[in-house]
Amino acid sequence: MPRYPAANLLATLATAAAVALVADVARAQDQPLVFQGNLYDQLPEPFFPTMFKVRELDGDGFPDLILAGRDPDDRLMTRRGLGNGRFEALQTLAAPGFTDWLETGDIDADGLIDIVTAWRGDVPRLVVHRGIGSGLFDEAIVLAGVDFGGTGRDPQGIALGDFDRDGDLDIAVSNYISQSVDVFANHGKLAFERTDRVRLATFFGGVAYPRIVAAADMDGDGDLDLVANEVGGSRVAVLRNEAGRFVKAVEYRVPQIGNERPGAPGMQLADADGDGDMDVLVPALLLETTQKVVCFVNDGSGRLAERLVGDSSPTGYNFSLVGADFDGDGDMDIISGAAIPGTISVGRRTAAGAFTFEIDIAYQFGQLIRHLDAADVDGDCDLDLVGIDGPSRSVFVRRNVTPQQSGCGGGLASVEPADAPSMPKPFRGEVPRLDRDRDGAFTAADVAIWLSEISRPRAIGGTR
Amino acid sequence: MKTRAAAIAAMLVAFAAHAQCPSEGDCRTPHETPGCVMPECCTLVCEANPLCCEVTWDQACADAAIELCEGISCPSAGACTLPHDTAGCSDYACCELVTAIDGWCTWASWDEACARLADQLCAVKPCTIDQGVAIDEQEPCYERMNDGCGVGFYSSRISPQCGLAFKGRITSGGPRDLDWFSLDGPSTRRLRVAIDAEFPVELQYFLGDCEGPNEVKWLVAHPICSGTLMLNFVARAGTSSMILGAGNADASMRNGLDCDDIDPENPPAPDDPPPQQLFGVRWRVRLDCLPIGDIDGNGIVAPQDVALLLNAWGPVPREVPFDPRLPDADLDGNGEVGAPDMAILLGSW
Repeated sequence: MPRYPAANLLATLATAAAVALVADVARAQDQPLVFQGNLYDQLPEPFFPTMFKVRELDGDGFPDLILAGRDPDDRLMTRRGLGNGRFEALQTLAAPGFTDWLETGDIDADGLIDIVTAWRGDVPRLVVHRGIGSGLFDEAIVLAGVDFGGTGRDPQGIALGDFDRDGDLDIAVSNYISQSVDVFANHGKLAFERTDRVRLATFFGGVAYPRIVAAADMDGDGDLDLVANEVGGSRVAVLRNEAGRFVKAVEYRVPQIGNERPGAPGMQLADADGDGDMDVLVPALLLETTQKVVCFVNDGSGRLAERLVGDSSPTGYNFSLVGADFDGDGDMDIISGAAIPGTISVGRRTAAGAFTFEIDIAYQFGQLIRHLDAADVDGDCDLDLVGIDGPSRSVFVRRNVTPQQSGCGGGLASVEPADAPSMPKPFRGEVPRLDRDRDGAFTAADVAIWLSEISRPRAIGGTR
Repeated sequence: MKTRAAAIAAMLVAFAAHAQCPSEGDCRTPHETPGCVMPECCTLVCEANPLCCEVTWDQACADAAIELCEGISCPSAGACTLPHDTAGCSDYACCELVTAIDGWCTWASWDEACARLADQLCAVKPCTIDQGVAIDEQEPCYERMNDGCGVGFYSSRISPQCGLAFKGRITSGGPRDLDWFSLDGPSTRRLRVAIDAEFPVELQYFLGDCEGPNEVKWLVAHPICSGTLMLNFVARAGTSSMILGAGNADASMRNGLDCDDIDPENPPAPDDPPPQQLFGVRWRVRLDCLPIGDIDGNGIVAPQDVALLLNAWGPVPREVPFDPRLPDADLDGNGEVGAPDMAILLGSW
């Protein structure tokens, strides 16, 4: 006869496992996140990188990069990942008009990944670079323009998704100057039709300047909704998908912190609270205090019912962030990128269920960390940090050497010295105090706009 | 105050100083005849180099035009009412009007927003309204007192009363002027609003407060000088506002309706440009409260309202923008017209 009944044994084992898990999580939460020194590649003059996408393009198993940028020489670039955190030039594509965002997906349903981006210039264009295999892409094909298709003014953000659920990828675009989000339906054979244009913050006396748009099923009804951040006025907007159409936005303001209304220069959708729905993370740019991150918590119905504030960079102005599980403990950590000086603040989630972070370390790099992402670039099955600094034209990688709960990663033994022969210098100038969103007051939102509009290395010194 | 007519007259006087302005030929390319097609650009270049208006528009004149005429694009190739890739359009007066309102049209490209402005404004003669007996909003046009959460700081809202008319002014600028009317209430109500204005009207119904969640339930653009805008709509329980501004369905109007009052704390500098009022800036709003079941807004709840409700029976379509110009039979605001709405209607018979 067994000493314990089976049910008791199972309960005991489950309890022991739970205790061990809690202990492991607690240990993980106690362990600082550790990243190796910068590996960085400088991009050619005068390319000013604005955003990148990590994708495996050439079939060698190592993640590669596709870079959008503001480039007087009209280029969009891909770079081949070498599997050690370094990248080398792969392809340069013509992009007449600055690009601020790009997305990848099989737009033409030929089985190859394509690049969708928008040329922001005086004659805006929505374009696709069709994949042609071996990690290469064709020159741009225009999907919509001023005189056909009706692009908006200064199209910056891009999101792809099958919004009308007809089996192909449609495109959403945020128009920075038009203050709107456009949705283009894919009719096949690269024929796109603008089906919706939703104006944002029409009630605002200033200019909303939507920068990023992202797609996710926010309300759990099985279709993709859209979320955009508004740099002017510091808001996020949720656009619900109603039978494949988007007709209005529900908008939420970034909460006041202390005496300030923070700027909202960036945005990422992530399941911050682990409840299975997408929440909205925003780097909160503040003028007077320690920088913060804000989480708009989705109650599952698409309503952002709570606004939580967490600690972030002790210096600079927050601009970008990436939320991911960097220590493998099952919850989301947040790394934020700041400007002036360029600072990468590594924030570890310190309590399950709470939006509290311990800033393990703040690395300084460059002047404006425009974009961050998490990807396993060295093949050790943990998430490394990839970012860009605009003014120094740099792509940087910090390999994750945090001991992982999952057993992944190289561990502390693999820490290598930073490869920083000419680390970009920090900024020492003044931030211009101009009411850039024309709302009648100088606030953090105006600094967020200034940073989002900089496109020359010297601009960060105050001359544009 | 600089009106449209005065502005064009002043320009013509200036152009008369150079008899060849305007003339034939693209200003930015050399051609044999003197002068070029853009009056302002032609005048600028000929002031710098009179030979351009006396002998020939040679390469030096074209180079000077490229240097001096940045942002000048009227007239240019392309019909004003059709989108095209280049800046400006072919009808000089229309081009000048549209580019004075929307700078994108003169330095970037003539997109659909430019074309729609041209279509809506260029053939219209500005009008004036009689504000009559009405309560003045008492907002100097250089202030932003009734702008709700339209500006960086929270300002107040006009508190309208049923059966009374209000009057005021809307000006553009940074921030553009908005006039918010508080429609807060503990229950749903039916309101009829009548709006007269001297500018293109952008009227919105805003649900919620400044922190959010908030949404614009509907936005109506009413063409300039097209008579009274009458709407009969249901105001929801809770916090909501009606917002009056200038604009159209594409965009809010941010230029062309300058304030002509002098702000004593911020008087204009001697070299500041004169105020630019392309249209009048005055408005008049009257709000009436109707029985909630009065769907057709004729003042009584009657069988016609029942017919309208039955006609709207079922879910309110959510995949198309809400149009307040159509009968609103969703009396309880739950997104579906049904028996509870019928009960509300009969209760207000």
